[in-house]
Formats: sequence, C-alpha cells, structure tokens
Amino acid sequence: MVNSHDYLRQVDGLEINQVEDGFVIYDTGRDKVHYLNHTAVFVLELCNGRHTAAEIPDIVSGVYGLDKSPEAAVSDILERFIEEGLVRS
Amino acid sequence: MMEHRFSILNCDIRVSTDCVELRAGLEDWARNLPSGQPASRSLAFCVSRKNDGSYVIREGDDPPVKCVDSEWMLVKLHHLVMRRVFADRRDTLMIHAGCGTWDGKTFILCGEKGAGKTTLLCRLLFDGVQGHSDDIVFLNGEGVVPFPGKFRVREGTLALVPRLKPACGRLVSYPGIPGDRIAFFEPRDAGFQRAISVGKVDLFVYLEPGRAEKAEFTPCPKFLMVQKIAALTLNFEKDPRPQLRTLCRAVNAGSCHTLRIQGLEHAVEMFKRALR
Repeated sequence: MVNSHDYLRQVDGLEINQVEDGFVIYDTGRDKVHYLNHTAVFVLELCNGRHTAAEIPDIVSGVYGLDKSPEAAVSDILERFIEEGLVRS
Repeated sequence: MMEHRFSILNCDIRVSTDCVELRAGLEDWARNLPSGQPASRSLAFCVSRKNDGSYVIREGDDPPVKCVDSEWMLVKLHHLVMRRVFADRRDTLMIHAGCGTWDGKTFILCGEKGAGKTTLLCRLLFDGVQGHSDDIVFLNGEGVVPFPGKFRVREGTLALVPRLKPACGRLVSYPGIPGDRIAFFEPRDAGFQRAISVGKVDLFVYLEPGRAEKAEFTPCPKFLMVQKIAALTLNFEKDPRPQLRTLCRAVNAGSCHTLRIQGLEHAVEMFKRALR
C-alpha cells in the first residue's frame, strides 16, 4: 500500500531504453526487465524524491490535460513499481 | 575412417566416422547449406558404432554421447553441432524466429514453438517470398542474420501446404517434437531463392499461437514487441544491457504487428498486404 505522504524515489541502477512508443527498463540490481508505456515512465520519472505519492496524480493530470486527477490509476502504477522494486520510499 | 566436412555460419565442421549410414543423414541436414561467412572456428566430432548396434558421438574431451540407433545418432549429432555453432555469439541476440524478404522488405516472424512460423513461411514461398530461416535468427547492430539451417518441416505443415509435397514428401523424417516427425527441407532444392545476408528489418510480426475465431493483423506497440522478442531470445548474457539496446534499436527501425491466424490463405494475404 502506497502511503500518500511518502516521497518516492527510483532505485539505483535502472537502465532506460526508449523505443518509439514506450520504454524498456533493465534493473541491474534485480536482473529484471520491465516494459512500460509513456505514462508509466512519466510516473516513474516523477519518483525522484521531490514529490509525494499524493502529488503525482495532480502533476500527471496537469501534463496530460485531464479533467480529473487519475488518483486510482497512478496509485496502481506506484504500487506495481514498489512490488517490482523499481521505486522505494 | 571417413571424414565429412561442411560449414555452418562461421564454423568449419568435421565429422570422422566408420559408419556409412551417417553419410545419408548428413546429406539430409548438412548438405548444400547456404553460407556467406568466412570460417573462423573449427569443430570436430567423431561418430562410431559399437558391437551391440548402438552409437557413440565424441567431441574432444567431453563425455561421449550414447545413442540407441542410427536415427537417434543423427538427431543427437545435429543437436550437438547446433549447440556448438550457436555458442560464443556474444555480439548478437539469438531469437527463436523465422525471417524472409518480399519485394525488398525483410521481416522477422516470431512466435512460440508450434505457432505456425514454418508453415506460414513455407506457404509464402509459393507467393515469391524468400524464406531465409524458419527457426533461428541472429540480431546484431547491423540487422538480422538468418540462421542458414534447413527448414524443419513437420507432417502437419505438409497437410496445410500440400504444394510442398513434391519437394518434401520423399525426404527422410526424424524424431522432433514428441509425437511428430520433422524433415529437413532446403528451399533452394525446390527452386526457391534463399539469401543469407545481413539486413535491416522492416517488419516484426509476432504470430499468436493457436487458431483465432477471427483473423487479425494488428499493430503492436514497440515496447510490447520488445517484450515478446525478449521472451523468445535464447542467449541473454549475464549483463543483457547491450543486447537490450540492440533489440530496442532494431525494433525502433521497423514496424510491428501481431498476427492471429484463422485460415492459412487469409493470413498469407494479410501478411503480404503489410509488406506492400
């Protein structure tokens, strides 16, 4: 469960390869490859230790011009990132 | 003692034997393979028959491989040779996929074992597609290098592509996937063109396994195509980053589609439309 007050941060050692419509991310520490679309990678980039989990949906909403803050979708992505070991608080 | 010599990719292969029956088997899978690379490695095997009718394959100081009969001796020798040929190709990705060219455009056809790659490629031969490889391709920074081995045609393929029967019907078959047998088919023996050269990939197609209710040829996001091909890559290094970069670059340079087959003829039409 993501704590909304947590400042999330990418783990060290991620190599990010861009393809036209997404990204292929290799986690050197866990020897694992992840395949993410643009939105997911944008959320990952926001996990830089400067934003709380609660702030990230609003930033995504602003950048993508959404009418509503995508709280549930971003929360799912962040939980997945934590499960997969891509980010930590 | 006889010696048989042939080349695959950059390997010069010698098989010493006292078994006359080996000659016909090597004719089946090692004769007339397209080359295109200078030999830089030498491999040597020795095959002998024992008094009880079984066979032994030796390579250097490795433990001998025992085989109950001549058919299995040929199958195991084929596996051993391929394993050695495929080793030490650290500069490339080795992918379980087929490859061909049509109208100047090169495609990679990937999919799980049994998805129908060989069947589709064999059918496409009759429409002017050059089938370069049906099972293995290598991808490096310059593009795709098809593995020049013979096509491995199963009995099911002959049923779906009956026009292959004159060329394949008389070929000797060997044990393949359990319950099935395969014959080694060289497209050039049937008059088709086959080139083994490095080339940029224009189209990546992932063949979904099984028959769909409706045939579909749909664009596939590139990052998902990378995922599919990575799952079919047979030689990831301990540090796979250079290989992933190569794969991403290659996929970026082509277009990507997923193919679901309902009927073979419909799939052929969709495939050719994508290559136009």
